[in-house]
Amino acid sequence: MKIICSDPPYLFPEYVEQLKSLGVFVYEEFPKDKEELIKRCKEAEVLIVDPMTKMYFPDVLSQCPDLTAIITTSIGTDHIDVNYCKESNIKVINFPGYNAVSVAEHTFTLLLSLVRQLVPYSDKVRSGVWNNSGYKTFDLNGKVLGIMGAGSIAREIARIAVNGFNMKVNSFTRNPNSERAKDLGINKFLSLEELLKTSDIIVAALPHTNETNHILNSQNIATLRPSAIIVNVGRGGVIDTEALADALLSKKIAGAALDVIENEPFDLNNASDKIKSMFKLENVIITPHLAGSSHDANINLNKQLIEVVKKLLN
Amino acid sequence: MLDKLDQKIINYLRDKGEVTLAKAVSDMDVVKSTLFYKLENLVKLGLVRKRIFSKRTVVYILEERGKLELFIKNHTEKLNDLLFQKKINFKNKPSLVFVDAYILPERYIKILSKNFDVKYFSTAESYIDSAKFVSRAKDADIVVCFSSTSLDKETLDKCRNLKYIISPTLDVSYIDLEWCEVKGIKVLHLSDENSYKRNARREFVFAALLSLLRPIKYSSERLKFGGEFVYDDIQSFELGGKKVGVVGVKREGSMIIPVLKLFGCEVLASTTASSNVEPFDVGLKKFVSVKEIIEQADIVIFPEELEVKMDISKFLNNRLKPDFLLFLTHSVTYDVKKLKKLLDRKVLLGVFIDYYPDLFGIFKNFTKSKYKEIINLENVIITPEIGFYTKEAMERNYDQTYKIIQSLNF
Repeated sequence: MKIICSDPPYLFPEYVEQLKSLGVFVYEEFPKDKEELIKRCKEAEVLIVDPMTKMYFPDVLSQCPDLTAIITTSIGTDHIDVNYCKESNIKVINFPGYNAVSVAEHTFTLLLSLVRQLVPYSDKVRSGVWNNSGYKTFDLNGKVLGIMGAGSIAREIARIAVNGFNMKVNSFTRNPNSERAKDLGINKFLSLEELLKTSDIIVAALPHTNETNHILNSQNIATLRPSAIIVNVGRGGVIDTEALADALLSKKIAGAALDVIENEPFDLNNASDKIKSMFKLENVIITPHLAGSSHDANINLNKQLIEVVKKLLN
Repeated sequence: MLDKLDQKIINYLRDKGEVTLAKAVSDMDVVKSTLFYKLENLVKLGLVRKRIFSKRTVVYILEERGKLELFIKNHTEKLNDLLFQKKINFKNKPSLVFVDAYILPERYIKILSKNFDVKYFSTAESYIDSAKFVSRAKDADIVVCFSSTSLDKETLDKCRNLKYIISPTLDVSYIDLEWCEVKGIKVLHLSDENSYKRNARREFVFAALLSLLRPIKYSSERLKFGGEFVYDDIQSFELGGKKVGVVGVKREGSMIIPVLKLFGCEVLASTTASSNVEPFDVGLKKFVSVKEIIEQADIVIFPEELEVKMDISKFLNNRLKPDFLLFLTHSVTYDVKKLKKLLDRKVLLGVFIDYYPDLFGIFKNFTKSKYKEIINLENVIITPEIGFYTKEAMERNYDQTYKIIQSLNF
């Protein structure tokens, strides 16, 4: 079976060696363009791909007559035309949930760092200002957490929020039912409108689809409580960044912590003035899409990938 | 202040009447020396009486006051009142001075002003030197001090009118309590049992811990200053699966252990001899020594005040096991230069400091103090003692402090 790693795999060196020892051909640089990608892929029966190369669409895949499966080292599959693959009997294998724990922990890292103002107060000390008077914050205990999403990440976040911090957790999803709510460990499912109105903290853990594009926008952000905080660990396109910036700059909400943002890889130098101003705020934290990429989550992914390849070879 | 073991002893004496130490040890299953010191302390406080029949036969009996205490054990301010036998009668409105940045909200001040001559300083600082304290407190009958300065013998001697010190804190180690006893100054503080900051401190431990494991500060600031949106060079770790050492389980330690386990951590914990927390109280099979914790844990947290101060400098060498250290207590000292060396060599991957053992002397010039060695390192987060402070914690604090002050109104 010809298995080709058409992108340099985001794996630890020992796992790359394991792949090679299983007979997988591994490219060590990203393809420069579509033509090069096609050259790499055309003889493959199985491809191992990285979500950074957003070119696995019909114009490339149709040039791979022997292709039976694509393994992507990610949860998301928006870099692959999944419908085309379905029609062409090409199996798409991803790793949902491999980093749910990592993302959930990062959610609380963002939330607690923001709420407890670690960054600005640490900076004050560094600049020689030793003063904790004027410091204002609140307990998470007893607060209402609204999670947009009901997958493995939402489950993990709910578990920690309810059992670790005594928060009340509601969720919004396309397919709510009471059994699912119980399984998720939440209080109940709400409509998006109700969730936004009743939550102290909103966590967005949704994939980016046509349906969820800008699901948080200027209209519904305006219904949030002035003390509300938004955390996004799903996908950037779920939130209209300009609308978010408006709300933060006009103090309509209390803060935001983003691990994802529209138009990644995000370049502040090319952002609008409004977004640049938003990032100057002390009550805004941004991290570069690293929620799911803890050392431990990556080890987990590496192991799972090797297992999948071994299964395919057998 | 009476802790759970004291109250357990009082309950026991109420049920049994007269007991010898040996009988009490056998019935209560408490270490003999611990029980002895507890009983002697209760005698000193006037809650228990001691009768000596012969050199070998000493019996302990609950005093009437001790019986009274059972009825009001949850009321901090009244308990404090009981502990100090002499009530002071003020001829005029007693002078009540808030000497530092801690001031009760207006709604409390309004009520207190009916019975007290209240003074406060709206530009008050979090930390003040002795001279400033004296200038503000020298004529006061009662001061409210939020551990903003060291109340040593010299400072106390200059406050000739002083009859009460009210500390809206759990820890009063900044006050020379023995000298207060000599001078007849009563010290009243908040109770451990209904700790006003229990949620605030517990949550702060996790804010600190997670922000070390995932370099939020560094990665966020880098992006905000126009840095690249990449994470390949950012090393972050999950908390789950780590071995976490917790030094002290009397207060914050016991609160964080269940949450650490929820995150999937293996927990090692140590306790002091006088703590009456049992391992099973916090879901552990046994307690271990601090040395064992430092030799085995990936992360070590010092989350609470300890009865005996500790210096961990001897452990700070190249063989140090933990990757992360969190100092959230005044009770632990360490050689900052050694810490720096370990951070530079990546033997230590991160340090978080919110409480400082020696802050009074250095707060004005913190950046020029010994901490200057590490203050600007990327993998060090230093905050100005904010771990206890949330809106809800302070509401509880204000309420409890107000009740203590009101109880002086006689």
